[in-house]
Amino acid sequence: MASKEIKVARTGEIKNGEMKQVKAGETELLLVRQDGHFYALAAKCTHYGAPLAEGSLRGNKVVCPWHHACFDVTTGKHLAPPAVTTCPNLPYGLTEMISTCRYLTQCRSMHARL
Amino acid sequence: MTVADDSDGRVFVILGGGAAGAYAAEGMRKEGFQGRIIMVSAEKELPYDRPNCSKDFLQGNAPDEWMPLRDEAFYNSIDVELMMGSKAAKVDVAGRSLTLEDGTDVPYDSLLIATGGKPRKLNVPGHDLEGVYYLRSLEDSRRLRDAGKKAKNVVIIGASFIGMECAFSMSELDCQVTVVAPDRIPFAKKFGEEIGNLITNTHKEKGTTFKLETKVKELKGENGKVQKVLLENGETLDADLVIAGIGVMPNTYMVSGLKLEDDGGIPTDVYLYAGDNVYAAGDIAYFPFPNGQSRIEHWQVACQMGRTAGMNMAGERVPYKEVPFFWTAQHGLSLHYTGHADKFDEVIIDGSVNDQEFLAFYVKDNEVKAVMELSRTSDLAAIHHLMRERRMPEPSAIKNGKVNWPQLVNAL
Repeated sequence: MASKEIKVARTGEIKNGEMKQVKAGETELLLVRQDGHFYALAAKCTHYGAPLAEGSLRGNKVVCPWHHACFDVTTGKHLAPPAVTTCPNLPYGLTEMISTCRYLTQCRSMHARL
Repeated sequence: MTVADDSDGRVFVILGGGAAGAYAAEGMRKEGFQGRIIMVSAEKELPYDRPNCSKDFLQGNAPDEWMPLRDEAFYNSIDVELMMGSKAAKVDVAGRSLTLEDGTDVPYDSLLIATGGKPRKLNVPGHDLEGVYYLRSLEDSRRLRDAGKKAKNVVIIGASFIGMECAFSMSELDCQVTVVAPDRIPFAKKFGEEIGNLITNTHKEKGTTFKLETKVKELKGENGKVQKVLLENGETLDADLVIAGIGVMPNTYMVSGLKLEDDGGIPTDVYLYAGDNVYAAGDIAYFPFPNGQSRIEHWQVACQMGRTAGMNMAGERVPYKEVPFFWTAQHGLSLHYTGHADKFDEVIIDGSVNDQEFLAFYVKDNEVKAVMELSRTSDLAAIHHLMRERRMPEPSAIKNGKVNWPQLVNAL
């Protein structure tokens, strides 16, 4: 299937150590800028769907605002319960999402390939 | 994740199919354990989302498919042998074997006991009448939901988490709810009087009645079915459904050969090791927390302890040192709590309890031991990082000015 690129944000919109939730088509993404790199993962916690952008980022760890599950923003890896690793309710896995978006790193403006 | 390999002949048995057991199985495989993993659970269900059993699921607002943590295919894929619906009769620590009620022996090289709690039973005349319920399992929740849909007058005995979440859920099922408890203000001991009053008043506004500073003396029924609840203060309440939420006891009746605490809890070291090739995790684990040895009966703690125990059984040596966390949902109040404070000298409120927007800091010996929030989720997530790294500010700094919590984390 042919992919298409959608502009989701400008790099200047996210400062180092910040997170921002953006929309790529119908898909909500969490963009993270940490140590000069950009990362993208699913915007919602795999536990009960809280917006991770409203959580707290410390290094590579984001703590979910609702029930404090913790994920590695650079890999999507589940670090602390209550969530489990992946969420069957999501139409995609975190890892897949990240690989789709990894190439956003250090561009002037960020696009998601859908 | 790693799967089993015949070259590793070891057998790890997980007794219990709750949060701790489920996370332990995954922790073992993540650490590369290639022997057999057998999960033995008295419940028929695969590990499920127990916190929801008193909330949305009980109200009929959560579909069945939300409840399992993982499906059977997942456990097959990581080679976890499931023995669901199997009750343990005896754990013989010296003989390294578990005996099931049907007589089957399950020998092990290493055992995780993660049997959780069992509800304390009422000890008053009429306790065995039809219409008296306890809530612990998904099956309990289904039965209670069906009963709640038909019930009119519900009496809840106990005003702690299970009691008050049941009060909320039964009220959502359009029942007339009365809560009976010995407390003067529910949750005052745990959260402080001001927040205890907020929670209680919120229930009252939704039509729930409280009978406080009294206890149930007797349950009366007709044709074996409960009809009246008699209180020690002389009052009589109509009831076609009674729910007792009066705490849980460690479910360790089957264990012999290990030294247990008086309440049946199993003491562990920081690695969740109880001795003699046995680990313990979750509600039953008497763990050496920084504030002293204690048991915490919360879901996230059980998940994290289970995972840590599983990893250590597989050969890791990681201490459990997470910051405890729990949440409760009652009539639109979604309260989140990080840390652990059995007792506190002072509660510092940042924000307004009346406006339902606050952080509450529980201080003991001039140290913030725990923080709870309402409508301040981002701040508490930031505080979680600070507590984990033991970088919480002094109580005086919190009292003296408004702390910008996200900024404090950024500045670390």
